[in-house]
Amino acid sequence: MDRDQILELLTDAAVEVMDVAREVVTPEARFVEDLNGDSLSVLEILEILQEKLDVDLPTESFDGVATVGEAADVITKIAAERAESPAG
Amino acid sequence: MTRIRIAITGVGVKTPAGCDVDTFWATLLAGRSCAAPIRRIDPAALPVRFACEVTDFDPSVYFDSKETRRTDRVAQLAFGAAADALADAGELGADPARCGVVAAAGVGGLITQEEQEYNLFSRGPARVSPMLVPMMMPNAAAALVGMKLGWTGPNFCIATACAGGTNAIGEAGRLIREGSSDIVLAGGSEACVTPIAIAAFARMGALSNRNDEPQLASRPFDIDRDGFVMGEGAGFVVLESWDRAVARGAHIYGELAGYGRNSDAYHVTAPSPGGAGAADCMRLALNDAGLTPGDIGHINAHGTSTDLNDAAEAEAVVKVFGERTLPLTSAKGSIGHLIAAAGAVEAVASLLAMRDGVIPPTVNHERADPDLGVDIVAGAPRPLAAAPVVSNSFGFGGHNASLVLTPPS
Repeated sequence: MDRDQILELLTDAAVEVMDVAREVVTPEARFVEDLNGDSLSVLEILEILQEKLDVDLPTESFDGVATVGEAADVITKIAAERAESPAG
Repeated sequence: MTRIRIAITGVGVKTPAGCDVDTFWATLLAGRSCAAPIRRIDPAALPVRFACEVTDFDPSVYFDSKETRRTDRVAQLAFGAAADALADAGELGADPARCGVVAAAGVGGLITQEEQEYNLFSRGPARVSPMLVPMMMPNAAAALVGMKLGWTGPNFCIATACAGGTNAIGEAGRLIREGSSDIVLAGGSEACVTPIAIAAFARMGALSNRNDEPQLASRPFDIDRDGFVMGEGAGFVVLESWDRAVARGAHIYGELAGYGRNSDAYHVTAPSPGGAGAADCMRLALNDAGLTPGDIGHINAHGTSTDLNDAAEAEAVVKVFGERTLPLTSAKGSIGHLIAAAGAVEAVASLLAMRDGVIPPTVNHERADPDLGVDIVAGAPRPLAAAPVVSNSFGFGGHNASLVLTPPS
């Protein structure tokens, strides 16, 4: 799964969790400041992505992540590592 | 110093017998059992496959999608009942810092906890929801009610198992009497029609096994009783000082005139021999109300339909009030055992009984247990002149709680 597809899933999740319009969920949008989120919203979004991608997304991997695009970068990297892992 | 009188000015329920007070009360008076095969989960593998579920609660009436997602059913039911009680109480005109919440919980957000334990064991710790802690904690319902209302006064959870709802109302009265709060929403909620709870209570032998005839299963004080029926729901009441209620022209359901609470200090699940703890508890409540046994019109019994509880409660009633001197009713024949919500919902029933001058029948009480020596209202509602009610709750752990509620006057 590439970054664009992951961005799409993140956007779906952000719209659902934060109850915001789809067009405001840009890669530059910050979860808390721009998208009406709180400290739990990001965790809820990650939980949805975990289910959709069937991959573990450890909370600590997202330290310092503020925007949708940054989250997509981290998830893309984790998903790629998982795909390469023989145990995966 | 003049004793501060406590008025109850709002009531709200979410029960297997209905999610509004009128439907709930009509169902109790009709003497209808609410037990049925379990719907929320597939009960096929469980030893007991029926319960009294709340079937018509719609969270979207009270919550947006975010709140619904972040709260367990137990907190949703609690806020629904609390919001109804508040609406019923009318315009309070109170300072939010002087408004408190006391909410009883038995097991907390067990539905969520079980789902997440399944995730833990089947898929690993990374799949445990980050929302689990705030959804499972027993104080979640109290916190939700306070947050939704913006009430910043005293806010806490009472965990005395099946006595919780009664303790919550009693302790709320104390908050008003001691001057900590002007208004308190007090009650309890429970939502544990879950595989682990059903399995665990069944393994203790606490639940009725009547899988083939669920509607006959909860039969308080009946000679053929064989255990309680798991229920779920919530009940809340609004309490304030009598003077305040009168000054704002509130409708007053009744007075919280007396409250007793004590501990058996005997056994974690069995009542103390001869119902000694329960008897002392009722005496404490009578003393607090300044009433004698002869002043009481009827008892809203804990009456779970278990062999031991009903026997101990009956013995306690005989000790305090004498043999067959006053009528008892148990709502659990109709709605099952709502655990921490039971006492709150039954307090509401007690207030309505005083309002309408009628005691609802104990569903399925067909053959009196000759060993018990108590007069059980059964078959049809029994008219009663408005008179004080004792409402009892007794919890695992030996927690006893009794309220004395008196008609408004």
